[in-house]
Amino acid sequence: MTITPTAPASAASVHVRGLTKTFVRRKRRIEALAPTDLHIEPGEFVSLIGPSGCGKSTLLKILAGLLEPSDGHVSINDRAVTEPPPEVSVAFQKPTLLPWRTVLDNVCLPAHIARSSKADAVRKARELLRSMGLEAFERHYPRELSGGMEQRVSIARSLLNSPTLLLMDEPFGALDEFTREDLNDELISVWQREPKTVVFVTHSISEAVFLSDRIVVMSARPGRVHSIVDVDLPRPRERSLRNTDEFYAAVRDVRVLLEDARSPHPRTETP
Amino acid sequence: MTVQNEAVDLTRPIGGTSPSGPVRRRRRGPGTTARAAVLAVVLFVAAIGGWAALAASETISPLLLPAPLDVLSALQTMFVSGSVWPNLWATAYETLLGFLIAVVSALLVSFAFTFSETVRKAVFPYLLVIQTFPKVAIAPLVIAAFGYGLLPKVVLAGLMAFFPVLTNAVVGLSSTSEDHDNLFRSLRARRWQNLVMLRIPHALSYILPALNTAAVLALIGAIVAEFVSARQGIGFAIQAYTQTGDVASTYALLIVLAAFGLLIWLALTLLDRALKRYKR
Repeated sequence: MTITPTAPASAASVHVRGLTKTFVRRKRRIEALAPTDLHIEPGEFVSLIGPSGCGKSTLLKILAGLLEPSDGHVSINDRAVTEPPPEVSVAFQKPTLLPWRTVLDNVCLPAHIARSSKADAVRKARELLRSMGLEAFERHYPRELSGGMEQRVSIARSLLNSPTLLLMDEPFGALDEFTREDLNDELISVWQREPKTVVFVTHSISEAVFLSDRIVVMSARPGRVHSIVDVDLPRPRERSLRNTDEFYAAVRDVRVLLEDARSPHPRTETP
Repeated sequence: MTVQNEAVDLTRPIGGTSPSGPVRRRRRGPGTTARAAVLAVVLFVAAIGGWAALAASETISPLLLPAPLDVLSALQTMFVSGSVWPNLWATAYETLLGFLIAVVSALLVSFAFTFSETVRKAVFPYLLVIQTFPKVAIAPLVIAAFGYGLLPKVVLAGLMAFFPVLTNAVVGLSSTSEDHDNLFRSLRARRWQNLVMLRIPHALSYILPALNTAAVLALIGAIVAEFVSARQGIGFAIQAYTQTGDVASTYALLIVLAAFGLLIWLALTLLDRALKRYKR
């Protein structure tokens, strides 16, 4: 059941300084991100939470090298991000599987593209699938899977290359509450076995509290960091944690901050 | 003849007119499929019967509507004497050659388009215009340009087949989702990897249906080119028979043509089935 430790589990550090992003839509400038600073230590699990339009997905895409910042500096492991860095892996909101590939071939896609050893990739992919309870489905096609299973495959794929920074953009947003909690448990057990830095975008307060070391609360228009909360819950975390008073207290704290993050901009604003 | 045998076989067990015996096939019940089969046979028999009655009454000149049995014997003569083969072979060759050249070149052009969105956007409107243009209209020009041999038929067949494949391939190749594109970018895929591992497999579900259209259009192109000028081919023979008043032979050739079309359809259906996993 244990995953054999891969190369010394080094985790990445993230430094964001004075980052801004402005879009131009229909001749109007939209400030998606006001000057933002963020430092993430190696091995930290950090969640970004906030109302829609707060720039959390924009920030994630910039970290992934998929979007160019308008201004400011972003570095991962002290190297400036100018293109998708090799040590970074992204899990998207949708599973984004290739429908013509089997589950196993989907998980092996990163190795296929990197043209690294196929045998190694298959071995690692099978380990990941086993740890997610999908070993019986490796020859299935995505259309034969449920939404939760597809998202598990997607996460297995994002872990194949043993990334030192994992960026997750609301990966469980489309799932029902029970499946989401199952996947949270699985994610955290994978993460505890193979520590890496994770930046996790979510709408769910309890998900953020359960998973994170720190929660970055963001507010919208313009998108910016409202506050950062340390989650002082003990690790390793397990399902039972969700029923403790400490957990509820942490959820309450984040909820207060989130409401505050939304309040200075009531719904009256019209462009 | 085989058609009639089949018809009898199908009607018996369902209609219950057959003597109950061990030959009778077991069925789960008179489902929709079975009823549709009965209806299809009834329609066939009715159409042939109506045709025979109409021909026998001679309300329509036998120069336009020969009797079914005359057509059948013309068909038989054609195959017994072997006179059908050179014509069928010529048309099949022109059609398949035109079709293959069209598909390969349309795919190559569509791949080239994926490397420049500017070029694609600039050229695509013209492609749509050309696609809606009735290309058979330029058959005389094609003959004038390429002479009287095989070449003009292949050119016209290819021209007809080229555009539906190209437009569908271009649409398929450029309609990958933003998420998939981002996935491939984040995996640092090279351009050709994006094409081979993402765009082409994705586009197959657009290209496969276009192949059916293209094959039919290639056949039409070949026949029309033969009408204009040819020394052999089904189109040439149809014209020759019609002009000499041998209408039964013309009808026989139409049946041959239908069978050939069906064969192409069957081949493409098999291809479709083999590539099933690429379907959306």
